Amino acid sequence: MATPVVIFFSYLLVAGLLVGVSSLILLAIARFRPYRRFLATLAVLGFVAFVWGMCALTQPGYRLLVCYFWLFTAAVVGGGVGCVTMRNVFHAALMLILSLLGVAGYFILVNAEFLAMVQVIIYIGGIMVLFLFGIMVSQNIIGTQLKQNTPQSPWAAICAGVLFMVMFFTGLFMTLKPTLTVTPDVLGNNTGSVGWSLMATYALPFEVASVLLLMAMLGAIILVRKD
Amino acid sequence: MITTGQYNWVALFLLGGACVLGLAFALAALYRPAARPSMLKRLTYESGARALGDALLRFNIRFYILAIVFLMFDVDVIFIFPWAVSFRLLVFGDNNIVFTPIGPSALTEMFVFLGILIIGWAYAYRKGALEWV
Repeated sequence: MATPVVIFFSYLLVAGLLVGVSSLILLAIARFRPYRRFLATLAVLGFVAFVWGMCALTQPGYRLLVCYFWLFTAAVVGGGVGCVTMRNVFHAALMLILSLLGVAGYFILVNAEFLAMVQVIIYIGGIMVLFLFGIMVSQNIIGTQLKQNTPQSPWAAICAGVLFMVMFFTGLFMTLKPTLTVTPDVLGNNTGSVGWSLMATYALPFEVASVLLLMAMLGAIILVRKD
Repeated sequence: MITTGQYNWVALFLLGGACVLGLAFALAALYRPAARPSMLKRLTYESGARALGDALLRFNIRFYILAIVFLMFDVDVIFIFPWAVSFRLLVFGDNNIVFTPIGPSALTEMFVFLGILIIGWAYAYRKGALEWV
């Protein structure tokens, strides 16, 4: 079982993870800003080593899937770290878009194509556009170099760490005891099934949603326009 | 087993596109004269005129209402898209798939949905929210 190849790739995986995570943490600290190019290179190298080890240790049929998963994870984590470290608020919003794109990739990996499309159209196309507009119409934050470290940063880091541990252990126990069963789509594809349930089962909520959209649209116009 | 087979083509397409782009730049690097970047060459190209100020300037607030109206139609599209994908199945059904088709009322439901939204569109149009103010 524990052949030299497996042991080598396990060490590669763990070393890559340690190097990558520690350089990402150092990247987020303002004091190490002069070395950020070196640290970013180190993070990318650690990530490549980690993915390589991960692929070598999985079954041959799942290797591509593992590659996709860690690629999207790199987008999510890299976008998140970039979002909280970028000095320019506009660039921070763009990094948040990268993070959301990675989440859309996750949705495709679990066969939820419709959710992936909603993620791209609503979050990136709609909400992030509003974010960017909000940034672009405010005078004072354009082009200024933000300092993203506040006295609350250590507490925020501790909270994020605790949350991460909770999610990590939940995920760990869920993989040990898989209880989630996926019901097969009636219409053969995810999007079509959503359409069918919108039309058949949830016809009334569907029509009510249009009233909600109507109110949102009228409210926005009335609030924004003076007349 | 998670089937992402059809999306492998998307990944391949992205990879191929990146390769073509990289190849084009690599070939250009072989043939072009050596680049000597100077301050003048690094300027943003604005049809030959010198660019003034930063690109990240303050936008006019009048763009914001367009963004909000866009967001509403964006959400509408999310509701219309799954309907459009499965419309033929919803109306006529399929002998190979066991489910009850809805029939012509699938069209009616969507028209009711859009009809309510048309009110909002008409209001926005009459108030001039879609025009340049």
